[in-house]
Amino acid sequence: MDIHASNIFLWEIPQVRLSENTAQDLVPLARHLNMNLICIYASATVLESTLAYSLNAAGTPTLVVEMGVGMRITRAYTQQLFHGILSLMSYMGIWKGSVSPTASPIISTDGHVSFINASSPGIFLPSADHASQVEAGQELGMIVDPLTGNIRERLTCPVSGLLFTLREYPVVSGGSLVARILGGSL
Amino acid sequence: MREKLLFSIETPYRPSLPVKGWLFGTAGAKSLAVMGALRGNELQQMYICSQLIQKLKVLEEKGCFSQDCGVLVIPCANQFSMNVGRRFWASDNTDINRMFPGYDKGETTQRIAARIFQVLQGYRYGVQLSSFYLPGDLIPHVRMMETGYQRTEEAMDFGLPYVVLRTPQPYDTTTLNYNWQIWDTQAFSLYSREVLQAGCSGRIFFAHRSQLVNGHEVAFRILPGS
Repeated sequence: MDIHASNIFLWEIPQVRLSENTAQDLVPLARHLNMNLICIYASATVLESTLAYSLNAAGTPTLVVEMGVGMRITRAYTQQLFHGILSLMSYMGIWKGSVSPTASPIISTDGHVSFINASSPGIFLPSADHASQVEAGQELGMIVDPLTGNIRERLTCPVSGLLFTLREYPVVSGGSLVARILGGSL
Repeated sequence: MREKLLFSIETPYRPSLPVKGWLFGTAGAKSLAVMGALRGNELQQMYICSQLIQKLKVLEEKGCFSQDCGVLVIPCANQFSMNVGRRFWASDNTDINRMFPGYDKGETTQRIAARIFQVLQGYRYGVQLSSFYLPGDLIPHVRMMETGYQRTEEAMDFGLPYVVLRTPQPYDTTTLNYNWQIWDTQAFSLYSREVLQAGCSGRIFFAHRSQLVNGHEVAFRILPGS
């Protein structure tokens, strides 16, 4: 297992990330990790340099877990993953002790994820809660001028679904990723 | 010589930053593009471009440019990081030279890379003034990605001591050099040690050998203070 936090900019719900090339073998394992989400993404050349890719290529099934915000400890997530690891170990026959019940994760592919990027620079103020269900057209947040407070941009949800990624670092430039929603394509 | 605003980068709490290019020769002709600083600590690269602009201006005024040849020089596309003394994009610590060919609806440096690539695409030759990821002293040289499209013999025209042909790793596929080649530009990454000598004169020599610039002033040295 390769355990990551997110970077300092984005808040991620506990999730497993898998390449589509390895999904068939790894999803059955990932289901036991007590994560909220399993993200299956398209292959990308740059990811061939990662630890997980290299281990999988070498024959060691490897799962990548991503959760929380960089440079921060979220104790609820750590407990969640800890129980998930015991559950996976039990499934694999490594752990013979008791395990807590685990939740079934949502499984998503790239096509079901909508990206919301800032068009304007400024300070992002969220209106929706991270990990909440949002509706298409619902206000996601606004970007304001850091000196005057004037609203430069209002951001709305393009689709209904699960807000699984939300900007945590308030300073944004044009193009900064603000949110990701799992819930279908635009 | 024509100074052109290529695009602007809007910033959260500073004025927008203009990315400018200087064009020489025949308008619309895409013969040679020179990309300077993509990182905030590439002051040397930006300075070399400024000296190149000075020299190309003189050569153009003397009528030394070949017919239907055009040269673009972009000294800097990352003043934002340069202003605060950071190598990578200061907001999110990403490297513009790992975002090519770019994505105009993506994150900030993806968008910047997309806009830069839009300007640089279509040139017959491309020269990137790059910097090594490790600090140290380099003998001036040329580097090319081995994509199968490269013409290594043309790299010799820079007149520098050696050429490095690099087998691209997966993380190299998002560099300017790699993508330039994929999109039909003969791309060279130029590394120099000192600010004044090898970079600018090497490139003018290349431009001459590639028949972009004719005339007598084909090889020269820029001395400190000149």
